[in-house]
Amino acid sequence: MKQPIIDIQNLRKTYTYYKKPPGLLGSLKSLFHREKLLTEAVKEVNFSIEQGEFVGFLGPNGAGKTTTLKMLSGILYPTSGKVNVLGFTPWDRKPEFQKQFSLVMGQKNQLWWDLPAMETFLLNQTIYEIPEKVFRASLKELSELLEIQDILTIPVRKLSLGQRMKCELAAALLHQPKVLFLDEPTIGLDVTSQQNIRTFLKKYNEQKKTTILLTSHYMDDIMELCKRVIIVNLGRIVYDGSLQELIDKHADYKLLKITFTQEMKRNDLKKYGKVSEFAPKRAVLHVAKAQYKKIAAHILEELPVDDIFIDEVSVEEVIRDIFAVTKTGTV
Amino acid sequence: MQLRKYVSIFKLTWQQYLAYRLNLFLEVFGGIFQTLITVAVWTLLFRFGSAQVIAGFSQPEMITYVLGGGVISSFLLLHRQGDDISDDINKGGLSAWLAKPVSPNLMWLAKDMCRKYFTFFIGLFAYAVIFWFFAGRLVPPVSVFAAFLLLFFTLLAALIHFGLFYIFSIMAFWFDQTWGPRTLLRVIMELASGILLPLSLFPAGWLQFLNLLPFKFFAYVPMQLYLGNFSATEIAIEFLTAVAWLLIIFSVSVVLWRRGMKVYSASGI
Ligand SMILES: Nc1ncnc2c1ncn2[C@@H]1O[C@H](COP(=O)(O)OP(=O)(O)OP(=O)(O)O)[C@@H](O)[C@H]1O
Ligand SMILES: [Mg+2]
Repeated sequence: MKQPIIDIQNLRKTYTYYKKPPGLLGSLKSLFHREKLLTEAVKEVNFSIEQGEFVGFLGPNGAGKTTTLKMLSGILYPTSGKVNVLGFTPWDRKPEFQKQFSLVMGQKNQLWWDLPAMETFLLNQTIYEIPEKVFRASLKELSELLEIQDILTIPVRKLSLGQRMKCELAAALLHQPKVLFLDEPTIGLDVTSQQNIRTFLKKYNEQKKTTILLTSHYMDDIMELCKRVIIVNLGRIVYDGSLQELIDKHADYKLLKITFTQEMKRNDLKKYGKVSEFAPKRAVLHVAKAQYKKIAAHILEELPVDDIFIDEVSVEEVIRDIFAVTKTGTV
Repeated sequence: MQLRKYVSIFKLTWQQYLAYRLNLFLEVFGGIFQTLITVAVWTLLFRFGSAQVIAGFSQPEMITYVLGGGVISSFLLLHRQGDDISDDINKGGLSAWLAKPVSPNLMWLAKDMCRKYFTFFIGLFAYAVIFWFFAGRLVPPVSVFAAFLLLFFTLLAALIHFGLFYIFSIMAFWFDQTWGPRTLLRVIMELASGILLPLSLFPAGWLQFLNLLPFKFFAYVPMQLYLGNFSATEIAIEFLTAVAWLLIIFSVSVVLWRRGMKVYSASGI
């Protein structure tokens, strides 16, 4: 069998840190005695990714996504476990490895704040030892795809968040990495900018066959880009597979959105299905997929319905359900 | 070529400082101004003490010593020394560097050397004005070799200075704030470098002690070399002491860095 490009086995990370007591007296005391605290950020993570895959890495806040990505990038040592990326152990930080991947964090930039993005690009050219020809070609291609030709000479601090993110991506891709880790690259961007970044990433992944692992709290990102998702919660993998299957499995119901001509009682609706939203003249019911037609017909017949609308469950809702369920067990 | 990477970082840092040139100019200027006060104090001591020579220094020699030391310290001993390293560690800026084929330590060194060099460059104007003002009252270097020694030892001093503050800055791996120890270091340095008065004025016991510390390289040693107050043997001893300090600092740094990396949690991102 072909060797996967990323392979993680029993990865664990426990952060150790010290409680910081408030106030001067507290900090004096802490010179002599410090209370040790532990956070098990990643408890058990196993997965592998094949070359060219575009995988969504999901989970609620604090699930351990960023921690995992930091270990995959060699920034953090794990507490235990094995990781193989491109044939290397990331935290050995071998230059041959570092030249083949890139990490982009939506919250933290690598661009030099007071200088135009172009300066960071040129610095990356020397750091990654990119030959002049390759660099020029890469630069041309990326700036066209990202439409940043006109802003390369403006100091980064004067750019908008969206423009800065595009420049970040370009800076990270100049050396044509084989593996790309993206940690919330669309955070804080408006819908148009998010869409632009998505379109770019999609094209880039298709053309270059770059392996991409993406975390995002925006389901649109995941839906449009990732066939496969890995969901992590409380430091453990709770789902690893196709996004569509996950939705089909969990969205085994449809939504009936009903408006009534007169005020109703919640109890009158319970026999038709789970009432998820209720206002005297409006309600949303969850009904099993197999029966929704029949139930809708019954409702139309038996209740004073003004309007009825049958809808699919949104991915957000499915994911929210899963996050809620997985607080206790697996999917 | 590895060196090219750090030359590029040096160049970028240079451009970045251009954006802050006024601030840096004022900082250098402030440093020089402090020196002028020291010069005034020494002038008064010579005048009212009616001494021709104090501890082997004539008045022009003393003024040259104090001004020269002041110039060196104005671009070497910057107030915010170590802030950037500490911040990189505490706020997570280090992470981006760790993911690249580049050494964060050499990156910091390149940035620091750039800052020192830039500050020197920015200060040239102020230095020129001062040397013009004191023109008749200064002594030239005793020889071309002495001038060369001054330059060479200033370079060694720059490395020692970076190393000492590096050690205190990467304490950020274990502590939230490191400016406390760094401030202490700076205060000790002010006195023990001989910026205010030549170390040879201290009582013998103190002098012996101060000679063991690395701070003397920040003013006392370079200026004594300039004035030709060291014998050949003394020069050799100073050189070996400087090298020994660099080796000590380097070994401590390597150990601390390795341990620090084990506890680095990339917080702040
Ligand atoms: N440097 C650190 N020191 C101590 N604990 C940390 C550190 N970084 C993260 N943690 C803790 O580890 C857990 C996992 O954090 P992590 O940042 O990996 O989550 P995440 O999945 O990326 O969340 P988010 O979606 O909010 O970005 C959290 O409980 C967090 O408080
Ligand atoms: Mg995160």
